[in-house]
Amino acid sequence: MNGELLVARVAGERFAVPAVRIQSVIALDRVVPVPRAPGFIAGLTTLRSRTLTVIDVARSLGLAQPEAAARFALVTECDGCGYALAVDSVENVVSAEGPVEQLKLKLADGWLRTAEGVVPTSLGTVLILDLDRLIAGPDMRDAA
Amino acid sequence: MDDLIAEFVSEAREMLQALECELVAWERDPADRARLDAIFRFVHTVKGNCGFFDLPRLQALAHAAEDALGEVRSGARQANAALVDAILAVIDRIGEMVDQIAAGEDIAAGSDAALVAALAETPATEPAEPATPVAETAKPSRAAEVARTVRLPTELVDRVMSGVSDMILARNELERQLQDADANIGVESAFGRLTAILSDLQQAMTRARMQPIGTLFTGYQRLVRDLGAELGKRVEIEIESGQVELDREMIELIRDPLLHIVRNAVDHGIEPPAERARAGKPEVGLLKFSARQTGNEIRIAISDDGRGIDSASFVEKAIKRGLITSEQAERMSDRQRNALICEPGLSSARHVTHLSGRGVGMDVVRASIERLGGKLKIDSTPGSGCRFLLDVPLTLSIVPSITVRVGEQIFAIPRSYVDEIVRNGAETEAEPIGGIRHVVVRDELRPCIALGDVLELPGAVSANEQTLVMIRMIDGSVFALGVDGIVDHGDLVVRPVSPHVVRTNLYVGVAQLNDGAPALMMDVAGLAAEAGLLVEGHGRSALVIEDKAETDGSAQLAPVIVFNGLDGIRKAVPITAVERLFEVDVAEIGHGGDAPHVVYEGRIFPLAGLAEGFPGAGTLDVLLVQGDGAQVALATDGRVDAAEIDLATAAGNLALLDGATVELIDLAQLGGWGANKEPASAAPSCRLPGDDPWCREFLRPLVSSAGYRIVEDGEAPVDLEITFDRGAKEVLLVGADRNGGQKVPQDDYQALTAALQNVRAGRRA
Repeated sequence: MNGELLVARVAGERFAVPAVRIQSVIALDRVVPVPRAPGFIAGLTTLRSRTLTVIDVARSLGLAQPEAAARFALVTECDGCGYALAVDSVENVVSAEGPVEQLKLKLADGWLRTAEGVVPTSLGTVLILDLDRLIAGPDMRDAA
Repeated sequence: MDDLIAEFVSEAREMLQALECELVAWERDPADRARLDAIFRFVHTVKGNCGFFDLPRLQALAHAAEDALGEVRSGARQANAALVDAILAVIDRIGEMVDQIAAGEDIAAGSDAALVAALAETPATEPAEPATPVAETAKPSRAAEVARTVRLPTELVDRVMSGVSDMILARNELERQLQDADANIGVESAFGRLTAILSDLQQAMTRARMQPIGTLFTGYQRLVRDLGAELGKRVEIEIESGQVELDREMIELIRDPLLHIVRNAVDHGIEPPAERARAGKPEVGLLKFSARQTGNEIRIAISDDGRGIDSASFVEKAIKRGLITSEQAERMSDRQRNALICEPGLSSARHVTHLSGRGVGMDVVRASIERLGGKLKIDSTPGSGCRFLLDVPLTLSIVPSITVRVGEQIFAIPRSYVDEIVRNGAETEAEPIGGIRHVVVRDELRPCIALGDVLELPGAVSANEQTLVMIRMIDGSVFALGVDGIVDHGDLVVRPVSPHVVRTNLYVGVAQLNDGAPALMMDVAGLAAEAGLLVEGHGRSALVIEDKAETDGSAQLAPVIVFNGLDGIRKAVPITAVERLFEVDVAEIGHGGDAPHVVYEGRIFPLAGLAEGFPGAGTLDVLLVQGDGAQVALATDGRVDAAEIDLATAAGNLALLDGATVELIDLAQLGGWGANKEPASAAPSCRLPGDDPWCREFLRPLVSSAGYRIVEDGEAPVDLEITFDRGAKEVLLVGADRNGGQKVPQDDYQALTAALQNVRAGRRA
């Protein structure tokens, strides 16, 4: 993986996503919940006239997340729909300083499902997550 | 160069589309010089452009066609069917090549020799008469007047539109800020100007997405011609009000369903010329397209003068397949019977042709129309034709909606589903049925679900304090949806929402409220299914119960209760005259005195409508009706429905409902039964216009049940004088004091009743 990476934190852990896919970073203020939607769907928010589906990244990864910790969101698009990925904080945009390495670690389920690999950066080695799999959320069987 | 090619392609395509009409018209009348000129101009332009772009094959083809047409124009040759076919073939080939050029393919390969040869062949039948006078008197060719237009990619238009939406939201935000801060007058007037400009801009942008529906209709011309030629039928097309505009996206979505209807009409509807001649019809069949806008809907009608739909055979098949019972079939209206052609697998075509019988049935057509929020109705008169009516929303994205509140959250419901809103207290609680709460609203037992329960959201009010939104499903069933309150109603711009949210089957999209907050648009069918209200056939809207009559301008609709008498005759009584519907034990019908009677809530009512030989046991559903000054119970066979009838169709004591006659109950005659009459002198008098059907049939029972004695026309002073302004649809009530009076809208029965009671109370005081 070449190019810029956006590094963010969720539930205290650091991860990166391809910066080219992130349209903007917004502060999450008003999130309208979607009753009966899967748990990792935090709700809906608006960015100007666009409505974004807010993905609770921590829950999508299956992490225990203290209530309402996510204050920022990464805006991205997947199959024509806009999403806001709620994270605790956004650290920086960095360049990959080497090739993506396959994971040799045994990760927890949520991470394992979304992780693409690790890459060295100026911030140290970070885990790259696949945005589409993050948005797809935990498998329905897990959710059930 | 690429830009020039793109320009050439789009110009050629535009001309090809415009030419469709001309070609068909020219074929009908080859002597029509204006059409000929238009076609000639087209091939000429193509030829000229081709030379410029170095497209020799296209140029040669256009050149050959130009030559042939040139001969016709000069009178050296006469247009005949063979020539028309050859020209059409050439134009088709040009269209194909233009598409290839657009796709960047090489068109140099391939030969058009056969086409060119067809053009050159002059059948021996023409000894080429000298130039006909037509050619000489031909008008100078009119240069097509085309409004200056630019072509824009749709994405660009969409982007500008969403920009406008953003600006409006920003404006709303600014407005809130201005209200909080004390802005000076200068700021406020500037803000007002901004608001006006924005709303203009929004309207203009909405129009930019619109396209005249005529472009869609003319596209079918060629299809109809080719289809007719293949089937040996002659069909003419008539287009009415093709200027009505529709969202581009919507036009694309209705293209295929319409195409199928058109195919059906030519294939199955319109008869071969010989059969038409035998039936005394012109040999050329007529296919008529029309469109008109009513409010937020466009009604598209496609009618043919063919043989119509053999609904009887559909009914027979549907019964045989167990889709309906013969009892249901008897009760079905004509439209419902015709709608059976949309049932999967009931196609009536005696032989399946390769054109219409290709697996895409009317069921698919109806489903796709309903998916985009439209409705399909079918009218048919056997032997003289059939008409398909499509009601589609103006745009996909703007949905008239009602917003409701549950707890702290706001949801939207499409208004098309909402029958009425019943405030808390207007319903009575009934026993739960199968674990589902039921309420009685307007004497009807309805299942009731709380939106909060389905959404697992705690509501702010208790179940019996909820506002009930009465939801009417496509199949005609009604249920009550309990919400904490109604927030607003209006048009919402609905956008698609992510698949996660759609997968809940509870929402169809999301809209933004005025303050920019998102509101979920409910999927009403999904909601009902989730609440367990649709046990079978969810989404199978098989027998659409059309209980709303057509609202044409001329129609004078009045709500009635329709029932079957014991004599089997369908009868109607104005809803205003019906007090209630109750059940009596047949054994308890009294036969003493001079007429049968029933006892209800401690009072005796004469019972009318007992037919000979009705069963001596069981129960009987009885309507309690207010006649002139007297209440009478009417025996029914239990089939009681609410409906609307068009008084304009009434003749004598008969009116039309769904194409069948119903007998209008004569309320004055019912009064003759003479029971429970108030002493006439005690009742206040009221004079009504006797010459208006609405007054006679509807106002009269209302006035009468309010305790008035009806006075026929005349001059004597009365306690209440009522006049009716048909144009304004207003009723004017003038009391005995002749003081101005009170105006009430015709259809507001509640206000009318209240006004009648007020006048009466005023007289007593």
